[in-house]
Amino acid sequence: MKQIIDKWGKSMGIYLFLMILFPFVMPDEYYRSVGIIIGLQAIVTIGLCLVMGLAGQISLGQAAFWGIGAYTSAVLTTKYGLPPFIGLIAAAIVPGLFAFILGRAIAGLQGYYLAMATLAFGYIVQIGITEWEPVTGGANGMISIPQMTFFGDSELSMYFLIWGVVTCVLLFSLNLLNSRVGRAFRAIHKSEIAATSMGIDVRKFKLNAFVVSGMFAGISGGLYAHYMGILDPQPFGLHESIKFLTMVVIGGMTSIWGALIGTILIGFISEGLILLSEVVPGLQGDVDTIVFGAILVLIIMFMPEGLVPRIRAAIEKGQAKKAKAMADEAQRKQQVERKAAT
Amino acid sequence: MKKRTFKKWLFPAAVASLVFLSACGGGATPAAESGTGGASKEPIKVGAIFSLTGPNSPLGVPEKQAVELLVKEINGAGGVDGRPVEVIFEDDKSDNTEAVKAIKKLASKEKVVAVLGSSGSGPSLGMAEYAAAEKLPLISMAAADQITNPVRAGIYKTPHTDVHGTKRIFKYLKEKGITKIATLNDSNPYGSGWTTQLQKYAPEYGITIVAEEKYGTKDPSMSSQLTKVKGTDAQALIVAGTNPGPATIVKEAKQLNLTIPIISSHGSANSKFLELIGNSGEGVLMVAGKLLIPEQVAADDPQSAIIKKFVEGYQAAYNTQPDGFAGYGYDGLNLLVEGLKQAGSDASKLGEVLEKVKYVGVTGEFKFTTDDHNGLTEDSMIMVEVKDGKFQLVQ
Repeated sequence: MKQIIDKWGKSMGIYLFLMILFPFVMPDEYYRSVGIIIGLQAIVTIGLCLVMGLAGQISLGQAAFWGIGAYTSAVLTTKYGLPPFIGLIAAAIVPGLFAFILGRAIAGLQGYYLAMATLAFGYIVQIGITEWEPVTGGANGMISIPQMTFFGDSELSMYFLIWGVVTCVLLFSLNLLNSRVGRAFRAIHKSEIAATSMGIDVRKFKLNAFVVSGMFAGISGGLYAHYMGILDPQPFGLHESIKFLTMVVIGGMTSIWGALIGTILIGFISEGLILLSEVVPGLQGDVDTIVFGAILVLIIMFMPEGLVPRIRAAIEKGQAKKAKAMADEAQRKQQVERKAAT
Repeated sequence: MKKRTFKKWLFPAAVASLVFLSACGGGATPAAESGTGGASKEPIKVGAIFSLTGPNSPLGVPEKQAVELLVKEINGAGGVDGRPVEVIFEDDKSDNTEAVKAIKKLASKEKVVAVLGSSGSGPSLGMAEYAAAEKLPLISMAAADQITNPVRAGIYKTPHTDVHGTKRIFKYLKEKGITKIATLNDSNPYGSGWTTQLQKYAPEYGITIVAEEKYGTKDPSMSSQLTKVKGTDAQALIVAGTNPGPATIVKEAKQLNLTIPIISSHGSANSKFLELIGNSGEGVLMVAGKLLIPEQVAADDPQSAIIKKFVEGYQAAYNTQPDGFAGYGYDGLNLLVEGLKQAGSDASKLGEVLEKVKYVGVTGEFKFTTDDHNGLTEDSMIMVEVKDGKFQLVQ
């Protein structure tokens, strides 16, 4: 724990400060609901970041785990009357099981093949939800899913519940990153062969990352179901999976903070575009998809490592420059003094 | 070297443009369609969330146009109780989450007294969940029966449901002495809603469903299902889906020489359907609202006056014939205005007052009651036949 505070203290402090401040700076329900949705997405993208950045896998099926989580909690609470809290635990376990089975099945795949397999999985889940009518309500979906009560059921308390979960997920992931497991992941990301030769069980680590990411997505899905109050299969498709992927890539795959910042950035850009479209009527509608696509292309072309690692590198470089300048200065002074002495 | 400088400047430039974007946005005033007449008093704010983009946009755009037209007319005539009506539009992008965000925005930022929309069933159900909890009156333009069944305080809807369509078709079949039917429905929410209702009401009309087939919304061909239907002793085929599916079915049925009558639902009842079926659709039957053939509505029909007025106004404004969706939007705002008039200055009563509203609209004659928040009956629907590439009323 101390390690985290030492290493992440500053970033964590800023994060907590901004997170707690946000709903009071924007004291209206709408921006709080925007904050909630960004939080829900952040839980998924942090998980995805573990899979992509650390284990070096591509998952195009993250929205499917999200959907499984959402439906698990919704069905248990709505049809069987269980409290949402239990539903939420199941919403973490069931997608985790799915991820485990899928992960075992496709553990040997890499790169594009893995992407294709997860893509297919995403489709299967969405079609499965649509066709399993007696349980999921089919294409018509489910209504009247109970709300989550967390110190009241206002938008504000929901905001803190969700960002509380985001904080837990964030701490868990940062901690993981700095442990032996995290170092193993980074080794796998750089070179699987090298990692294997160092005695790392690549398959096991990849599977673990996959399961954890599935569980995170499931928790987020469960929260989403209780927040929305209704579900239908539409949000759990490829479009959403790609959106998650975009957020992670923009923020920076190799950094947990990157996933978080990428998610927030995308959320802010879409809000900005909505506001902008009120001034410029031509900007209505699917403009955000175009903008996100363009940003993705630019990021991959000019900073493939993503925003956060790039900024961090720039800051470090700046600090190094400053240190060097100071050293130079000191050396010059010394020289001048020496000259004066002689 | 050149590349390096470009790289160096890219990030600050990107940040600067983002800041510019958000700064632009922040200073913007909300887009509002305020009226011109009677502007001295404070306007009554009404929210309208339609699917202006995404897959539901063919529904949402005419709905918005009809509402815009009506707002101008209402405010031109002095508004409601001397106060102009201001409608604030939002686009839900045919997405559930966006719809819920939009209704929260309208409720908390704009403090609207009621909300119209949305176009699709999923977004509408999401909005209804919030509106019911917040006691904000909502009038939806979406098809799903679940929106108003079970009845929730303050939640209403204007379109004909699959229940009305089913009953109207069965009534027609009974007149013709047809007892065995096959169904071929889209697997989307619209089509599966129909499947449920067709099953539910068939025994009541002495009808047996001998084949029950489904197709996917994006399927390019339904010939295998049609071949199956051909092998049964069905006397008629009922098709429920939105274009282009039903049109494809009509064309392929002709190629397969399927001679039994095809009856399509109101989901595909528009001019696009006629375009798609070309000359292979002679004799195809459809169940639809009267707005599909405004010129054939009888003069003594209670709806004839308002249909005529709406069609003329819409055509003058947009140079095109209004479809059923435009009608749903038009009726929605009219019902709301009727409720506002009755509630007087007290907008908080609006949800209850609407429960007693009776109004003749372009979709049908609405009679809201405490246990019917749709207020329509199957008698407001008509059967039409495609003749010489046009819709003809079946008497």
